[in-house]
Order: sequence, then structure tokens, then C-alpha cells
Amino acid sequence: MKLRLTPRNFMILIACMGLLMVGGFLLVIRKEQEAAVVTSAGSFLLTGLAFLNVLLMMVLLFVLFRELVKGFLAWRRQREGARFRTRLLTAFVLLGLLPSLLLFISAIFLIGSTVDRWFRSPVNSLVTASQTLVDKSMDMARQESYRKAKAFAWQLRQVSPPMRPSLAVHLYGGGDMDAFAVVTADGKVLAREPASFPTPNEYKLAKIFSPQGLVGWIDLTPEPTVVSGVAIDKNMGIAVGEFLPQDLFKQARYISENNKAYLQIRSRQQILRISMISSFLALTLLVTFAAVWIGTHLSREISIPLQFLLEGTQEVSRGNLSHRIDYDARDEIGLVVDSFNRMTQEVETSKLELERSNEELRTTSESLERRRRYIETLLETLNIGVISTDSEGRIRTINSRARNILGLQPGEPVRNVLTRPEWNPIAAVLSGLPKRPVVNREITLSTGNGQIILSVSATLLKDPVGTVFGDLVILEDISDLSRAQRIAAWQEAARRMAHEIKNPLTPIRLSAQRIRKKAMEKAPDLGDALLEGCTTIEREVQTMMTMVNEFSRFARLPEIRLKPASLPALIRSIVTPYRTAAEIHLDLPANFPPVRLDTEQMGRAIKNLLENAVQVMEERGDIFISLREAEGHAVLSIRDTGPGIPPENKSRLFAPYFSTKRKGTGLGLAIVARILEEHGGAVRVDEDYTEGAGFIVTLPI
Amino acid sequence: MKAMRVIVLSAFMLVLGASAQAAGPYVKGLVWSYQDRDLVTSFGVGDALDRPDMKEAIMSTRPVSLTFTAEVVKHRTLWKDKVITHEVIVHTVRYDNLTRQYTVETKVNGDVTDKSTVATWEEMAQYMENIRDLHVTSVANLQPSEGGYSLRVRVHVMSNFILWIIPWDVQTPWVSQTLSTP
Repeated sequence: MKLRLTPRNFMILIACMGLLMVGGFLLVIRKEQEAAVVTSAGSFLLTGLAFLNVLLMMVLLFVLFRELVKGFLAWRRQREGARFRTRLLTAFVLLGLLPSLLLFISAIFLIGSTVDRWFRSPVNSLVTASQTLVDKSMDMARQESYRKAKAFAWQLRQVSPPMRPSLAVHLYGGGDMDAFAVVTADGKVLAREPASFPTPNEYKLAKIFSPQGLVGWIDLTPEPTVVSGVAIDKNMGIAVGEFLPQDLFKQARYISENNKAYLQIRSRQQILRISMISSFLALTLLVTFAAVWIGTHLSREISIPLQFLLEGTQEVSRGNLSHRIDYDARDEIGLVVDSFNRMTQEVETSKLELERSNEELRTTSESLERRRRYIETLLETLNIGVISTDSEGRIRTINSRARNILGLQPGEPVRNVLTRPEWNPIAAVLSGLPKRPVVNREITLSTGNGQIILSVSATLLKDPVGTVFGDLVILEDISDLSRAQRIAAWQEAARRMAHEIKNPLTPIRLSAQRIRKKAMEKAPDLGDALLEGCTTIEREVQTMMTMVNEFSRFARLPEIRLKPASLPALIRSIVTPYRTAAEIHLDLPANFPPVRLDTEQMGRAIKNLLENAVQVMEERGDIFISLREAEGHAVLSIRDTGPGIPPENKSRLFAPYFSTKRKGTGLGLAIVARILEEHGGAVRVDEDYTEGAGFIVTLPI
Repeated sequence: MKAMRVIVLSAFMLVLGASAQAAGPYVKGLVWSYQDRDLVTSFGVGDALDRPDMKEAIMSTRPVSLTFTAEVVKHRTLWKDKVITHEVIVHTVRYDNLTRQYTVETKVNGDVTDKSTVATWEEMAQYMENIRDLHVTSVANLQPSEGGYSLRVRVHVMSNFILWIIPWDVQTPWVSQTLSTP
């Protein structure tokens, strides 16, 4: 099991060390109590401070060593943020340690000088002087007592030993001494005054009978007394007591007691000095420990989120945008961490959006590319030429069929397409686009391969909002179709002509045969028959003449000359003759813009439409003529109240030689269609009108 | 190089310790005899009260004690010596700066057996530093047939505390003499 030094474990360790220290403290105190009477070192406070200092030193050294080892290992492993954390911790430790050490060193000097000053000050001299004074006064009492003892002993030597006790009592009565005792060498008291005067003990006896005698022994009980004694002879001695004055003794005791206290304190001055230094050392260690602890905590508080941020940025730089910093803090660092997490989340979301957009774009691009290829293939496969231009008229696309139609050589720039002189007709078609959304023309071009007939359809290219961004030109080589149509038309014309010519020929032949028969029979009604026959022949020839004239007129349509004209005025001038055959209803605007047209040709076209209407109405009917402007075009509507147009005939109405009338040439509506086509307009059946036949003519304004 | 440095430092500490031990208090005048079927001994201690710290302590009127320990031990082969008897005598002195007299007392195994007052330092030192005719044990406690007894004494002068934590006793080494058969 790996034992990690978590804060909880660290506190447990500190508590265990504290308990050990308390146990050690109690043991040492007990030892000191045992040795209290023999040691000069017993000091509970000092011991306690010493234990506290040792505990703090051990904890401090442990914490410092641990942080140093961790920092060193982190530096060796090149862990992110290790250098910053070590630097931060060092700064905090130095910030706490340097002032504390400075204060501690100052305190040592201050305490040393202060304690020295205490015991070097006049107090010390005063104590010494006062003690000397006490000693001197006591010495004086001692000397006086000793002098009296010697004098007393001299007087007692003057008498025989048996007389000495009574003489002593007699001399005591003289009042020169406070107390006395005459004793023998073996300690027997021969005389004593007062009775309370203590018997000299063995030590005093030995002193009394010593050569020097007992000099100034002080007894404190029963009352302070200075006792001196000398030997009178070798078997008898005298002890003299001098009572110390109460006030003097009281003052002396007071002084000596104070001096005793001072001396005891002075003997412990080193302990006092060290106690104070130990207190400051404990304070310094506490401050340093607090600084280290706070520094460690703060450096961890700062460096760990920074380390997380650094790792996070590295993860993000490696592309791991899902990396999040798991660090819960409510301070500014927590805000930075939250901002980082939000930023990475947004970046990740943006990246996912970007990737999705890229994928969609790639899919769209591939789809567009496929579509482009499809359209390109389609365009290349089409048998019609397709050209698109931009809004400036520059060609953007042109398919191979268009190249073939236009005879572009391989490698020739497409910008040449519309700039060649022979292709002016195409340019002319495009020039009409701004006025009309769609232009359809058949043009004949002379190319290197001869003349070709092209169906040119030009359309404006518009975006969904209606802005024009180019033109689309579709070229269809209808040379073969046109030729086939012409052949078919001629075949139809020949058939119709044969039919139309055949119809008059039969009456003519029959009339001629009847006249020949009547002539051969010389019939009496030959004259009538001849008259009727000639009449018939003349009528049929007239019919044939009319038919030939129509053909001639269709074949000889003159070239159109366009010039601005008033279409309502033209209509009014035309309809007047037809008012006798039908009821004409005009709906013409008062102010209609002029229209570029050939009045003669356009008049013919309108007349053909009116004649058709009059001819199909068996009775006098109504003809409605209206004119309006729509989308840059003049829209002319001509409606009658006749039988109408059968649906099966609508698609062939404008083909040459198609007629539903028995005597019609079938060229009227074909001429109308051709004239309007040459005007850039068109004619069509009015599908919305069901009361009769209706036609709508459109002309560009 | 580092190991050599450690060895030299350790040797220096040992020499220093030994020299400190040699300069400390010592037992002097150890004699013993059998008197009235008791083992009686007398001995003293030198370089005890003459120490400056002891002098200062006494003159500051603080009580100062010397502890005399006498033991009779029986030697045992391959085993720790057995303590037959253990006597502790404590001499304590208190100086009175008013009377300039020294009060000395003797405690034997915790009981005050003697107390007196002397006037001079020499008298006090004579009293304090010497033990005379201490009855250590009765010969009845000794088995003459077994033999191998020793009398050993030691005097504890004072207790110091290195850094106020580590107890450091200033005392004499054990001084022993082999006891002859009573």
C-alpha cells in the first residue's frame, strides 16, 4: 500500500509528534523534579519551550525537506509548473524567513544586552552594598559578642572554678550581657541566664574549647542572638549571647531575603536569557513555519491550476479539444479555469460545426461537381448549341455542338464567337434581350460549310431574386428541318394546287364535253349549252386566277420596313369596311405607345384575321377588338362569335395551305404568322375564349 | 572521504567525552570493613563542591545536594550482576546569607538522619563530601560460600540538561572493590 502524505496524514503525524513531545516533556519534568535539589537547570518553562522549539524545528525541517524533495523530483521529471511552484515557494519562504531571522537575531542581541544590563546595573551594586552593610553590622555584633565573651572569661579565670558559676551570675546582674551559659567541656551547663538561653550543642562546644573560640554564632531561635564563646580553662567555658535589636534584625533579614531572591535570579540569568531567546526562537519558528505552510498552500493553490491550464493548453494544441480542466475554485483562478473550459468547449463545438459544414460543403461540392459533369455531359450530348454569357456579355460556357455550329477551330478563344462579322445576326438577337425576356429567331448564317439555318433562342439568366446575371443562347441547326418543311410545304402546295386546279378543271371539262356533244348533235339548245358552258368555264378560270394571284402575293411578300406607328389608329382605319358585315366592338386605349411596325404588312395581317372572322360567321355576328400593353408588348385580341376552331385544327392553323373553307387558299393565317414573325411578334389562338374563335397578336413595343 | 570524515569526527567526540569524564568528580578514600557483622564503608567525593557552578549555586542560597550511592553486587557469569543492596545517602546544604552559616542534612533512603549547621565553607565541604561508616548491609545478606561480591559506590553531583531536554548527570563513575569473605 502506498502511503501518501496528504494534509490529513500530515496533521496526524504532527499530532503524534506533539504527543511524543508532551510525553518527553513530562518525563524530563519528572527527572527535573527528582533532581530539583541538585541541579541548576530545572526550569519547566525552559524545558517546555525547548520541546516546542524542537517540535517546530522538526516539523519545519520536515516540511521544507519534503517540499525541496518534491520540487527537485518535479524539476528532474520536468513536470509542468514545477519551476514556477518552486520559485513561488522559495519567495514565500524567504519572505517569511528573512524578517523572522532578522527579528530573531535582533532579539538575541537585545535580550543579551538587556539581561546583562539588569545584572550590571546599580541594582547589583546596591544588592552587594546592602549585603555588605548587613554583613558588617552582623560582624560588629559578632565582634562585640566575642569581646564580651573573652572579657567575661578573663574575669571568671580570676576565681577558682567552683566560684565561677556564682560569679558569672553576679556579673550578669551587672547588665553588660544579654545571656550567658557556663558549660563544661562535656556539655554540662553550670550556670545560665536567662533560662531560655539554649544550651550549646556539640558543634558549639567544640568551637568554644577550640583555640579561637566560638566567634559570633547567630541563633535565630528563640530570638535572634549572637553567641560567642571561649574556654575559661580546659574543662570550663563560657558562652555569651547578645540579643540583636529587633528593628535591626528585621531590616537585615528583609535585605538578606531580597538579596537571596536576587542572587537566585542572578544565578539563573543564563537560564533567563536562554528562556527569552527560546521564546523568540519559538516565535520565529512559528512564523517561519506559518510562512512555509502558507507559502506551500498558496504556491499549490496558484501553481496547480496553472499546471492544469498549461496541460490543458498543451492538450488543446495537440488537438484534443475535448480536454477539460477539473478544478473547482471560486476565486479569479477558478474564473480563468471556467473561461478556459468554456473556450475549449466553444472551440470544440465550432470545430465540430466546421467539420460538419466542411462535410456538407464537400458533399455539396461533389454533388455540384456531379451535377456540373452531368450538365456538361448533357450539354455535350445535346444536338443543340448552348452558349451562356455573363452580365458583361463574356462567354462562360459553350458546348461542342455550338462550337461545331459556329465553326470554331480547336483552341480558338471563345471570345471570338460573337465578335466575328458573320455572326452579327446572333449579336442582333442578343441585343433585343434587354427589352424582352425571350427572343426566338431563325437566322441564316454563311459559314465555311455553306449556309445554315439556325433557330436562335436567347433568354435572360436571372437569379431567384430576379437579377440578370447573363444570357443563354440556344442554337439549333434547323437547316435540314427547314428544308424538309419547305419540301413538305411545297408538296402540300402542289397537292393543294393540283386539287384546287383539278376542281375547276372538272366543270371546265364537263362544260367542254357538253358543248362538243351539243355541237355534234347540233342540238337546238346548243346556244344555251354554249352560253352556260362558257359561263362555267369563265367562272372556274376566274377562280383559278384568284388562286394564282393569292399564290403570287404569298410568294411576293415585300421586305418589312419598320417604323414607329400608332397601332390603335391603324386598327381604326382597317375595321371601317368590316362594320357592314359584322358588329365591331373596339376597346383601344387612348394613349398607346408607338410600335415599330410596317403599317402595310401589319394592316394586311389584321385584315386577314378580320376576313376570317367575317367569313366563318354565317349571320351577322360580333367582332371584339381590344388592345393593351403587357410586359413591353402590345397585345391585340380579336374575337368573333362564330363556330370557333376545332381543337384538332389548332396546331395546323398557321401552316400554309391549311383551310377549312371550301374555297379557301389556306394562306391567310400563314401570311399573318409570317408577317408577325418578321415584326418580332407572334400570333396564337386565344385558348381562353370559348364563344367563338379568338386570336392574340403580340408585338414588341 | 565522507566516511573518513565521519570516523574522525566520531573519534574526536569519544576522546572529548572521555576527557570530560576524566575531569569530573571522582570517588576518593573508599574503604570498607566488617563491623559487628555489618559491611561498613566510608568514602568521599573530590572535585564536587569546588566546581564554580556548584559554588555559585550554594552561594545563591539555593539548596544543593550530593547523592551517594553504595551497592553490593554479586557477580554472575554470563549474566548481569545482581544488586544485593542499594543504599542512597543524600547530603544537602542550604546557605543562609544573613547568618552566613551552612545548614547541612543527611537523608538515608529518604529519611533525614542528621541535620546541623556549620559556620565555614570548609566545615560544610567536609560534611558534604564525605560519608563515614555507612552500614551498607548485613553480612547475613552475603553468602560466603558463593563469594564474588563487590562493593561499588558512586556520587551524583548535579543534573544538567543539554539544551534543557537531554538529562546529563554530573557524577562519578562507579568505583568498586571486591569484598573478601567476611
